[in-house]
Amino acid sequence: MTDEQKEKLIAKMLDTPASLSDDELDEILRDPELLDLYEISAAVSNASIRQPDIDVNEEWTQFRGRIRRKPLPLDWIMRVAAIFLGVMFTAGILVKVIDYVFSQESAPVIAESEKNAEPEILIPKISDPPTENRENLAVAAVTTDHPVASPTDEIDIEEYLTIQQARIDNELALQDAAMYEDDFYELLPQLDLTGDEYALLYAELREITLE
Amino acid sequence: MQYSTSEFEKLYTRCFPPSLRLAMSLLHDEDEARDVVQEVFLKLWESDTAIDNPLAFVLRSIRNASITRISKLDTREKILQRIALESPPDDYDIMQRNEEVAMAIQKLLTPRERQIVDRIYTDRMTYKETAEHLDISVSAVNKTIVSALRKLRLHFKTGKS
Repeated sequence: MTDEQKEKLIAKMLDTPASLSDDELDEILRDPELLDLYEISAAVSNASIRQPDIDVNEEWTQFRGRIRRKPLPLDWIMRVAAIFLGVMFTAGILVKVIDYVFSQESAPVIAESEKNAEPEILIPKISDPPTENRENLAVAAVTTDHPVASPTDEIDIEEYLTIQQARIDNELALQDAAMYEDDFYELLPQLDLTGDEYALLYAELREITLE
Repeated sequence: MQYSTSEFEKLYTRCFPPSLRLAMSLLHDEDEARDVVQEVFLKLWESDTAIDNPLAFVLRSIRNASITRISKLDTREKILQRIALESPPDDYDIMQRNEEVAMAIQKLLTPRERQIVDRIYTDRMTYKETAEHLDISVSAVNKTIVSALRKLRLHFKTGKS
């Protein structure tokens, strides 16, 4: 290659490198001086480029819209979920076992029929005029059948307590009634009532007690 | 993700200016340079690996990303530009080199040479446009440029002006 050809090639390389042919490109790549020249030209080009004015706050605002919190890796989420479910499952089983053990030991078993039975309300029956035998005074109890509770029957603990409370209340009421009856018959002779007066009093008392 | 948003904002505002200047010097296109810089910062944001020197990481990534972009462009200029970029070693500080070249241009070249270098490399004029602007021939423009480049080449090869 002559000096003139080389000078033309350099001009083409520096001014319009896109127009280089394959042969010209090969020539440049083979020639150390031409390669050196191109390298320093590239360095001058890099150093001379006009830099834009930079507003970092504006740049950050633009960039901020592109970032987002990365979602947790799926395997981490799966691991945490699996541990959580395992703990909950184990805890649930333990609670059930403990509940079953203690319920077997303490909870009474009451027949299904008793669950629906109303608490007994015992109304003392006021007997006929005092000439009759007081022993005929009978407490008319509402009798119901009480089938023996099957040990396999179960009852809600709250219902059981309600029924028991009603029984206790009923027993107390019976005791009170017996006490009032004793008082009544102690007072009755002091009133010295005629037969009609006694019948009227008897009717009034019946009306009151049956309300 | 190793940074909070506020930490990353500080990092971004500190590292963005030198990053964009580097990308501009390599790609010579502002939009492309900004795109490369943002892509690199996005990778840094999403990275779970602790990075001791984020600025060095960013600058190295920008250089590599720029080479990748250039290599995708099938032009003669980009082939030569890629060669020029790939020949220095990995730890080559492009920004420092740019500063040295800029100082050498001011120190070693004549005013005429600096004037023509500005037209060609800063204003991105062609030889023909520069010749018309300065009222000289295209051949004169070429000779002046080659003379300037040889001075600079000698300076950096031997350290002598």
